[in-house]
Formats: sequence, C-alpha cells, structure tokens
Amino acid sequence: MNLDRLQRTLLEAARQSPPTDSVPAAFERRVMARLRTATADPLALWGAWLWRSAVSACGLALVTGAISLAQSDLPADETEPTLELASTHLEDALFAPAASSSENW
Amino acid sequence: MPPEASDLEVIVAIRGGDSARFEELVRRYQARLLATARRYARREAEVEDIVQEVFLKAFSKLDSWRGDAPFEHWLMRLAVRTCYDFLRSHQRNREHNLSELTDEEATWLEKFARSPDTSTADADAARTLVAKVLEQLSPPNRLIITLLELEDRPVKEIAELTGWSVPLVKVRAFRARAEMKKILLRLTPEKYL
Repeated sequence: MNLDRLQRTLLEAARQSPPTDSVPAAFERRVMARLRTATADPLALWGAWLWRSAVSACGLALVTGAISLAQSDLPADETEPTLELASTHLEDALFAPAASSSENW
Repeated sequence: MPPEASDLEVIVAIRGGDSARFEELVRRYQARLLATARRYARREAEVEDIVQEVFLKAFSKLDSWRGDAPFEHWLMRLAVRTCYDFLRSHQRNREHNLSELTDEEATWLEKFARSPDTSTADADAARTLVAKVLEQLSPPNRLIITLLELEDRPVKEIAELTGWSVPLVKVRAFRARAEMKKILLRLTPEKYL
C-alpha cells in the first residue's frame, strides 16, 4: 500500500470534518462562576466563613442558654437528679475510651 | 442597540475593576475556543474544562496583553498552549489498540489498498480511522499535525502560537509525519500491503 497516499487521504478526511463550534447552554455563565470562585479574595473568604461560624455559634449559645434556663426554673429537688444524670452521662461518654483502654488485658 | 464595544474597550474596563465585563469576551470567543479544544479532546467535559482554563488564564494574565497584537491572537496562543498541556497530561491515555479496527474501517482500508484512486476521504470510516491515528501521536507531533495539516497554518504562525522556533517547528513537522507513517504501517497489516 502507498503509505504517503494513505496519509494524504486520511488527513484530507480529517480536514473535511472540522469540529463543531457549538456552545453548551449557559457556558459563559459557568465560566464566570468559576472565575469568581477562582479569583475570590482569601481574606474576604475567611471573613465570610468567620461570620457564618459566628452566627452558628450564637445560635448554639442561645439554645443551650434556653435549656439551662428552662431547667433552672424547675424546683431544686427536680432539677438536681436530672442535671446530675446528664453530667454523669456526659462524663461517661467523654471518658469511655480511657476507661476501655484501662480494661485491656 | 448600542454598538458592540471593541476588545480593547472591554479590556480597559476590566482592568479598571469592572471584571463582570469579561463575560463579553467569553461570549465573543467561546465558540472558537470550543472548536479548537475539540480537536484535541474527545469528551465534551474535557473540552469544556480546557476552555474554562483558557479563560481563567486569560483573565489572570490580562495585564500582560499589551495590545500590539489583536486580543484574539493572544487568546489563541493561550488556547494552543493549554491544549498542548492537556495532551501531555493525558499522554498515558493514548493506549488505544489500533488492531481493533471496526468492520467499516477495515473495509475502507481494504478498498483503499485495492484501488486508492477511487477511495474517498469523505467516508465516515476514513474519519474515524484518522481520529484513531491522531490519538496515537505523541503530544508535540499531534499538535503540529493539527496546526499544520488540518488547520493549514503557516510555519511562522505555528511558531508564534506554540512558542517554538521556526526551525524547531519544521523539525517537529518532519518527525510528526514520520511518526504518522509508522502508525499507519502498524495499522495496515500485510494483507493490505
């Protein structure tokens, strides 16, 4: 087979079928969105992250404050066992790994 | 409808802090860049990634465009170099087995071997076959064959686009044609010879 000729014919085939220049839907918007993410100011990003954490921390503080207030409204003899029980559970949960490691033999 | 702002006007506005106007440049050149990237990547997701990367580079390097050449040329240089980087990073994916020709491709080759004068280049089999051959080429050889043979660009322009010297482009073109012939030789079993 004439390889030169085959090469020429195949290259001609490739020339005859140029790739399409169709544009996917809203491609420019995707480019701009990626650009905004890529060029975002790190300080601004950190600030936004800080504000978000501050909001969630405030929310958590409010919820725990409300719970402790609700419990303090109860008579002393009713709150103490509940609080004691809760604190015991918390202590058990925190020290569980240490307790189980001491039981290894 | 107000007349469309020139590239220079848009770029001045972007440099002045109105980065949202970059979208005008994206809309203006996206079709051309997508067509260019489709010459080197097959999957549409890869094509879109390449073009997005070209625009990101263009935005971040916009200050380096001095305006002595059209913005389009500068952008095409970025596009060609990004496509070349893509080819190099996907070099390992070239392990397409050429012995796996489809029936249509084998028939087309057989016909070509029998009567090259009557074999036409507009057959689908020829197009899929050449796509397979191009995928087998090394990244520089594929780039040079695409720019020189498929896009019919002059050597000097290829040198500007790639950043290679004119003699290097010529040497690489010679090597690329030789590599393509080697691939074709592997492709054409003895029965066609």
